[in-house]
Amino acid sequence: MIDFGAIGQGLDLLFSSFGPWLVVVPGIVLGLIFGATPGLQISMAMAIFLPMTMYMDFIQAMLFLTAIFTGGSFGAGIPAILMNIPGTSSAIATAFDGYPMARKGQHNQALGIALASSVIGALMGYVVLFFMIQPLSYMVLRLGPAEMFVVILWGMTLIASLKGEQVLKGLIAGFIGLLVGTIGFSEIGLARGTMGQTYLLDGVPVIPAMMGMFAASELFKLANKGFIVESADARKVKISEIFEGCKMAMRYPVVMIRGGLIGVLVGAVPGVGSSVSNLLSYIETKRRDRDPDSFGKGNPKGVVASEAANSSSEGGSMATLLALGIPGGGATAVMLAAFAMHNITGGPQFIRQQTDVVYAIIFANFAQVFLLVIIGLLFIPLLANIVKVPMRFLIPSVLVLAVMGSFGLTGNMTGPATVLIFAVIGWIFRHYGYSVPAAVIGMLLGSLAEKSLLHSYQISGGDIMYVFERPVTLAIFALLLVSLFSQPLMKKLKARQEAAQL
Amino acid sequence: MSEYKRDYGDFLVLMGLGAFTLWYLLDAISVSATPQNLLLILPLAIIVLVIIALELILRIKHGSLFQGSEEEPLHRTLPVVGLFAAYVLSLETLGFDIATVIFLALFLILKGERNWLLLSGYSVAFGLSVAFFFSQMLPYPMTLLLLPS
Repeated sequence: MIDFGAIGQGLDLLFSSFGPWLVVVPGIVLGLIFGATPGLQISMAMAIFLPMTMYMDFIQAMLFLTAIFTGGSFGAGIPAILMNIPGTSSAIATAFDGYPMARKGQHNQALGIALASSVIGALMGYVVLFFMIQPLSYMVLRLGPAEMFVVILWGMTLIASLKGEQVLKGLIAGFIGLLVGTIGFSEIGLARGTMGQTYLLDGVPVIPAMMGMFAASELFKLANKGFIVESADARKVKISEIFEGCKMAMRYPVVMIRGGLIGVLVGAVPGVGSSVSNLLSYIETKRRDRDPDSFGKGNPKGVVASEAANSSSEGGSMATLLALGIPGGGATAVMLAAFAMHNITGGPQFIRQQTDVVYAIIFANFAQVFLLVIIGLLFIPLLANIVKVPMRFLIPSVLVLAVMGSFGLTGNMTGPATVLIFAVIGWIFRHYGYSVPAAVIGMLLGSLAEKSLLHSYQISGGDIMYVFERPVTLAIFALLLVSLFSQPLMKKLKARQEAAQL
Repeated sequence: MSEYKRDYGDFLVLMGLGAFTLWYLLDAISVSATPQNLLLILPLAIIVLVIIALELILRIKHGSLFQGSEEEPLHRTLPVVGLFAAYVLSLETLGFDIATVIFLALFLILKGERNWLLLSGYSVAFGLSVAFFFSQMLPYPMTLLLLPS
């Protein structure tokens, strides 16, 4: 189950030089800053700093990006607790009880609980990944191009249907993203949709497009918010009370383990991730508690449930990324782009052939989790001030970094121009309720989807019956249909039940 | 409130996405009509067009074809988008250094910063240091007007 030879090589990769570790602390700090700043997303930080990974080797790049991910998962809880403003959607449930705790003067304890739960949650996620990655690789190796194609479609459907009310718009965004992802030369050497522009022959520059859609468009939306944390009181942060909070978190091991497991499982489902896992874990903890009415009024278990789940999601989403090469959400989509920048294709072959690299990533994340404790404790007092930076300074500064970074990626004006075009598209998409993550992930997976379909076509000789001979393809396709139609059907049933009761 | 206002924007976006899909499909067909070329594009484009049609039918049925978004009106953000567009388009003419300083200063003015010392100090310090950092780090030539390239 565990390849000890690969473990040794993985440790060698990590400890043969100090190089890989140089980027971990800056990564965690960046993640903390972006996570702790309302409106700035972890995926945004990763997209903006992605160009820098071009000058790193693959291990260093992955360590840097996962460090941002780890730091961001905890950072998002800070404004949720102090100001009732979740830094990202993954910390929504943290605010439910974290903020009432702060109102009661227990903000230090709440921050301590969040830190301890994040650390243990992230650790759990990577422990599960460590034990499961090999069996997972054997399992996914049985997947052929037909299964890969249906998995991509399933993932796209899940991502697109996340916004319950706007499923059709989500699907439109995701499928148009897939179409955009096929622009340029195809596998058989035909150039489509280039409008005669040579810079489109290699396809739309995906990373600048992603920077525009994720980061710039969100910043446009925030431009009129002025001073987002104006109402924040100057709260004093006491390290001793934060430690007390860390100890408090340990009093709820069941809540923590349940949250961690929910996080890993939900995180592994493409498109769901930490945004949903924190809510699910919170709801489940509240449902099972003897005193559910105490939730929402400052119950520490609420903070533990949310933070353990959103942090362990990282391990789950990494499993999907490494084993299938499919990003589960925005952050892992950026990591997939980093894979591409280093000419590495995630998926079954990657796990089988570069097991040492996979173990190195997992071990580095164990270490990152412990570093998070130290850096988190040092940075909490500072971060509480960073969230008070006026948006009018923050927004143009981040936009400038995005533009410069995109220039660095392409080496010409194609990068900044792509950021601009996709920032406008992302801004319009957000405004009218089209799923931006679905569109971005579609763009990333477009060419892979086409390649998988083409290979299936070549293997089957164009015979559609080939699909019916592959039970796994049919099973995944059935899952796709279930995830697509279960939501509206459940809604209709509920409406009917309510109508019958009236 | 804007959420009940008649808004053609959403309808136009939907039509625009439909038009793009149709154009891309026709472009792919004009390149080659072989199954290998259209294996993904043809069915996907048809699915997108069907979903767009379905969305339109549902909206007509619910009488919400021109219903506005609940988000802040687009025109309130338009100056920021325009400023950002001007910044990107002026990079080659003004240089990355000067364009960045001007963009930062104009953004701060637009968003109500009236402390001229802070405004000019931040724009110049941040703009020039970022441009200098990237010009030194990147292996490509960057257009710079003030800083040494």
